Amino acid sequence: MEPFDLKLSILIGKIAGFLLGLLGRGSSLPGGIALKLNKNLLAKMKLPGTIIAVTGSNGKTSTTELLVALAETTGQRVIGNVEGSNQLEGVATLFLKHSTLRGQVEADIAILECDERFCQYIFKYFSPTAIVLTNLFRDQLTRNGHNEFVAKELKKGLPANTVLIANADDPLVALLARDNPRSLFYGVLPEVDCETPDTPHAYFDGAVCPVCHRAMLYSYRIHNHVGDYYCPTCGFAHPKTTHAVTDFTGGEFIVDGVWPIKPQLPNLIFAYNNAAAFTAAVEVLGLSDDEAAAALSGYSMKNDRVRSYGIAGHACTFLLSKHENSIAYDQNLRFAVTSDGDEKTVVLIVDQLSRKYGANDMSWLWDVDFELLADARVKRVLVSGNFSNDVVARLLLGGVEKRKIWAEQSIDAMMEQLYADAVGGIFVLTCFTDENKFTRRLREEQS
Amino acid sequence: MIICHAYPQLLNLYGDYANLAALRKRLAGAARTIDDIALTPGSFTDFSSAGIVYFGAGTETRMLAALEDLRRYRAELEDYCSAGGLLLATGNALALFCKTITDLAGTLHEGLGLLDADVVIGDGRSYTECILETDLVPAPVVGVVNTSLAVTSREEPLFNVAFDTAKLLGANEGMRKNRLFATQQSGPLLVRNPALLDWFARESLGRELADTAIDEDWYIYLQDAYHNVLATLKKAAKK
Repeated sequence: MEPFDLKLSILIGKIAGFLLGLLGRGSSLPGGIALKLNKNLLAKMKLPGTIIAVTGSNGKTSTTELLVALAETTGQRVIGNVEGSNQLEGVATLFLKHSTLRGQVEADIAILECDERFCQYIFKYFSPTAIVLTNLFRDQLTRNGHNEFVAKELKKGLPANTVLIANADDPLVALLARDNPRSLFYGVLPEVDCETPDTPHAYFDGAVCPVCHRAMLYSYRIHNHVGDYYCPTCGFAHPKTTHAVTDFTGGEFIVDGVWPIKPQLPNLIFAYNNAAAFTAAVEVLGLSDDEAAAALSGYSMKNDRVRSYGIAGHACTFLLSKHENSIAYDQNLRFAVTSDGDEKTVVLIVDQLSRKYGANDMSWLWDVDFELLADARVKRVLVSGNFSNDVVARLLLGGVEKRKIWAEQSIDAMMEQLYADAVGGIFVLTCFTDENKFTRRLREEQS
Repeated sequence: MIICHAYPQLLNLYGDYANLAALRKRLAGAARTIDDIALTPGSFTDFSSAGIVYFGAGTETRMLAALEDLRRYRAELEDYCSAGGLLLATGNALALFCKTITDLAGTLHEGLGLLDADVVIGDGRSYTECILETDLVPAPVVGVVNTSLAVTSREEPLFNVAFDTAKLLGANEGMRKNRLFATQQSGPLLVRNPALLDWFARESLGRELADTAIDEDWYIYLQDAYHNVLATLKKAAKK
């Protein structure tokens, strides 16, 4: 006999989900309401037998989506919070949506995107089968402080009996997984892409060992502090990988030197997402290597962070770039600058930092390698949004010539300028907080 | 003139290096040459003739790692500050100059003791945006504090707090002693506040800047950004 409060909380949560669904909302509130009524809801529900969580600073949403697609190839019933509501309430909403009134979640496999600060609250009630740890980068420092702080908080949310599938190339992530005997590691080898030791960055988080805080050395760096590291003082070093993207030729990722994946986006970030999803699929879901590679090959992301448009005869690439996340910006700026074409127009929109936290700190702009825009192939840089003055000051102090910068707070004015004055390929970088301001205006122009 | 950046890789958390990037740019027309030197772990650097020595914020563990190395310089730093040398510490670098730092495990670390203050590192994080006042400059100073520190100071404060969004700071913030200025203000404080940038540029140079009202684009954008932030914070204060 199930306790009445469980049924009642599930019923009310489901009703809330239905009503909010009519309004096009409700990815976390129904779970929040049910948890208010029954804080042990998740401990009392009968959850799927296999649960894989995905957490870390970057790549959570994409890796979760890839894993859902891989899990679906098993023919089992699969659920996932692919909309990205990744805190406790979002996870509860997902389980509620697929639950009977008795609390039986009608799925065999759940793939959960989980906020790295909230794992400790989510996994208080259940232990997932495995947790994929993507990376720990500087991300939303206004709420996260710094990545060592996030690592400390995340550690509280890693159950001892859970398999950790960790990015070997990120020292902080590898350290989190080091003491768990069930940890598996994935990575990307330098044949794929590699920075030289003197590639300039605004900061370098791999300068010191996360264990003893003495100087750390790298045999290669894939990007920023991600690569093959070792500490000559305490011996902390890059762990061996179970699976890795070992080559990156002809627009294909080669996993473990054998298995080809034709990715939608042949870039470095997507290589890591694919390596993580491949490892979890083979080692936890039981897919064979060739089944996993075949399922990932050609998979078209629903949650596309890169989109293509046409603007006044110019090819336009939209690159979703999380504000307050310098590595996301760096990767996209590098992509924009180095992609084919001798002439480019880059658009930067920084209008709102966060829908939730109401912060206005622009410190993160100084962590982004905006110096890349000084490249001669970048002919125009259009800057727009509430924080356009901060962005332009950053660009000018970073050596970007004033003559190629156009700036105005109004996004409408920027769009007019873009239509009138774009040169070559257009690359638009902005965050999900601001993307609709661009796409809405684009739709108006094109209707 | 010489700009000394202390532990640029260990202490560079919230774009702190931008303080020196802006300072260099501001001094470009005024100083005949600008030489950059860095304090780095294990090496010895003579900063006695520096126009300014700057310490930015680091993670708590990196700040303590810097402290471990910095103890070698205690006497030199004391001499430098006693002789009127200009030193700015932002973010949790403030802790380096205090008497004691208690870490999360409860371990007491002896600081340099140049400031009569004690610091405790907390388990959580606090964040606030603020308007400050100081006699260094007539204009209000805008800033951000992103910290895990609780500071007990018996020194003269650097700032009066006019407003802070999270009501975190109390009446005062920061410390000053002679020309040692230590503040929990995080990141590019001088970039956010062109008037404060001018003050530190003038003081590090040791004379008036010839161009008191420069019309270079970068500086104009800094000023515009400053006024935007100030207006936003004033609006928040009215609420």
